[in-house]
Amino acid sequence: MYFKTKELVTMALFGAMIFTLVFVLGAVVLSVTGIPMSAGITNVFITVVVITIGAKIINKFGVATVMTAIAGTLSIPTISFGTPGIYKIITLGLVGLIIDLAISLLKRSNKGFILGGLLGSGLTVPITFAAMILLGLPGVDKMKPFILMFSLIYAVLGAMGAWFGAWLFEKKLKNKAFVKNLQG
Amino acid sequence: MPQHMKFYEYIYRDSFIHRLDPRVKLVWLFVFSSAVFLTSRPGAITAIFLSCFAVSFLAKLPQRQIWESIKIFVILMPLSYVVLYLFLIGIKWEAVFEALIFSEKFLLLILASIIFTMTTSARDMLLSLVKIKVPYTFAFMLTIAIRFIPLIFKETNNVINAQRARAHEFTFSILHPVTTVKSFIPVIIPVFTLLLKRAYELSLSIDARGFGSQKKITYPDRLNFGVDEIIASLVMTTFLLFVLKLL
Repeated sequence: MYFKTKELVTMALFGAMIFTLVFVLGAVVLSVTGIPMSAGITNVFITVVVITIGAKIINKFGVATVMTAIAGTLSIPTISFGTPGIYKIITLGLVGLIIDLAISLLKRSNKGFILGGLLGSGLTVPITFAAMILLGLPGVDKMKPFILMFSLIYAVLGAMGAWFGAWLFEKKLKNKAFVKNLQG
Repeated sequence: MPQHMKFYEYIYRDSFIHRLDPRVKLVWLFVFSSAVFLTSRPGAITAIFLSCFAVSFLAKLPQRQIWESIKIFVILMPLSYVVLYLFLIGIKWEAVFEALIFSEKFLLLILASIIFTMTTSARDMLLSLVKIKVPYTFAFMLTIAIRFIPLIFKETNNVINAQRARAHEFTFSILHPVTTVKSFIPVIIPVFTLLLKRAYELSLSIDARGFGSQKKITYPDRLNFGVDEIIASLVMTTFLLFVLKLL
């Protein structure tokens, strides 16, 4: 098997964490602001933080893709992550794959994680938008002028999330015994 | 964290719905999801909504817990979709109507999946996913992830309460993101620590039971497609035809 048992369990935990944090925090942010897109802005930061920590613990290609695919599957019946239903797995999995490719490209350095966060999050908006057009959701074309602006916001937040996740891992988690056990 | 939220948590009851083969329930979930997105007629949506409640009563599920799990969405979703649709379609009654219908559809999806997970144990779910040809590794991770969700809620609540008992003040402000993140670090680190420890212990326990030691995976004979399942499938088909007629 490509992944060990402890890696499978860790990826499952991180997938569940992405889902739970996005699901609950999205609702909290939505209740505070009342603006639909505001939840997405908070969620993109949190998602990248969790992905970064997960990918730092498990040093293998495909970790981000698997974690996002699990989060996507869990959130099928919810409003999280934009696209409705089963399409979430595809859009989120694509974002995870982009992050994985960027991380591998820069040999799993912190710069690679930041690039992954930047590209993955920045491309979330056009990918979600394309999926919404394919699904024929009403009034979607009115969002066209905002794609670039939201992509930039998401990209910056994704890069910040990756930096924060890497910082959190290096300073607070890296040397803990259970992290070493999971990595060993 | 909402204290009473019971999303993806199994509740044991001696009921017809609990005893049903999980594959039938998976199909039920799929039928519901499809029916919800196939129609926009208020009559059909109301029929699906009522059938959903009927199933939750049949399953003897605690209605208060279901309400606690969905109430935040009952309030927030229509509100946010009305704002979004007014922006997308324009300031018209049609936009409000469309938004209400759309948010009701999502509420139904959430409700159906809550009922499914409250009535299906993780072990049965894993078996049924494998039987419908989902790759074993992915089904295994998905089942573990589902089992982690209530734990994440619980541990986060415990850590938040423990930090509050130590007079830690949480700040939540969209305008001051750095202060918000800083105030949550005393929660993030202990939660990660607790959950990663649990993950490690769980993986040890799974390995100790010989997970992955054999190439061919065998399953206990738990799933049984009997008379109850046939009746449930017939009821579902009749219901789907009824809803399709209402389209």
